[in-house]
Amino acid sequence: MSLTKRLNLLLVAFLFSVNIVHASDSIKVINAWSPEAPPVAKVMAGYMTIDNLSNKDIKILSAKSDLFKRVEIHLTEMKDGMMRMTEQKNLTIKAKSHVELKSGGLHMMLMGKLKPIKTGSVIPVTLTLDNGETVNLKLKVKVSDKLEMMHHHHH
Amino acid sequence: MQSEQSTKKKSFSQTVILPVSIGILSLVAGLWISQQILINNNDSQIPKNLDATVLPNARTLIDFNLFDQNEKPFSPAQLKGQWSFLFFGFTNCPDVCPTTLKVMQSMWKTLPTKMGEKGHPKLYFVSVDPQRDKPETLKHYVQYFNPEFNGVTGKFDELDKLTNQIGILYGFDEKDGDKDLEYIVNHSAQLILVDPKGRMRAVISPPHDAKTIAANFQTIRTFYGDE
Repeated sequence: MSLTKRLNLLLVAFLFSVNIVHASDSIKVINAWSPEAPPVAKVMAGYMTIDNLSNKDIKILSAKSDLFKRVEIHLTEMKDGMMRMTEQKNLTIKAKSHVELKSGGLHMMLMGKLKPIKTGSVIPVTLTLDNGETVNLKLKVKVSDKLEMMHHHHH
Repeated sequence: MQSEQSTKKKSFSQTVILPVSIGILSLVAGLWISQQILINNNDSQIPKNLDATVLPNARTLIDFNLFDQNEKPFSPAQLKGQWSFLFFGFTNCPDVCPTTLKVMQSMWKTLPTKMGEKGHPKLYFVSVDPQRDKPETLKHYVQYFNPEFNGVTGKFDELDKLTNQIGILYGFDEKDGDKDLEYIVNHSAQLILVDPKGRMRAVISPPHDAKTIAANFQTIRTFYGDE
């Protein structure tokens, strides 16, 4: 490997250190994060963009984390005047497409927190796909995904 | 001829001067009265250019007995004397509740007033999940976002007395055979603004944005006053 290639790789690695990327052969997960939650909260959320790089639709069959009893994918939607959350079993990501998990829409629901989770730490999550692949990803626990919020101070 | 002239004179003062002066007087009186009505009763008017639904006739909230994070009563009396924001949710809520409380945390930083000052609002996070949200849990939860924030809950029938008046809905999605109480609570996500007389004044619908809420609150506050 030439030096320029090495430097390029380093540069790419540096750029993506802001948006951590996790990948299997067929999918790529970008900017996986979890908004910090009060220590007393037993439930947390996971947000990310999941890219399907393959030519086939992919289903996420399940998700799990060592730090939570259960991980599910839910959809927040306005229904009958209420914000309803419905579990999305087998979330499908269409071929050469992506799905965004974000606040107020599709999101990962981490239920039954097993130990304290600090801001700045990571939550490991494993996704099992219908093509037999698994994806290990880490949700970065932070205040917000907005850069201007990085100046947040705790009182 | 003379009588004719005097009749003419009389008719001039009667038909022109008197009605004109009466007209001017009543116009002035009318303007003064309408101004007094506007000053004393803004209910007929609502502030413009808002991203919130203002109730033309504020609704007095009555007859509910809940308790706060310190197990002190939360009843209509606690809503009097300052503007209050009410938000309904539960602490095991992963998405909507923490997102909204984060927004209110940011919004609180933009307030021109400090706690205890005239016009400084209160925030009450009302848990509709009293089975899991005990006062102690609520205290840790809301004060994580801002030590000024209050958590409130109570018996279901008392919660319903408040939510029914406001039009807040909530319901439970039971999980099959779940022993760990990991059910989901669906709930309305509006922020309710209550005026210093304890009357529901405005409804702010999601998605919530700190700057918009801050601007709307100051407009509403200035329009109706802090009394």
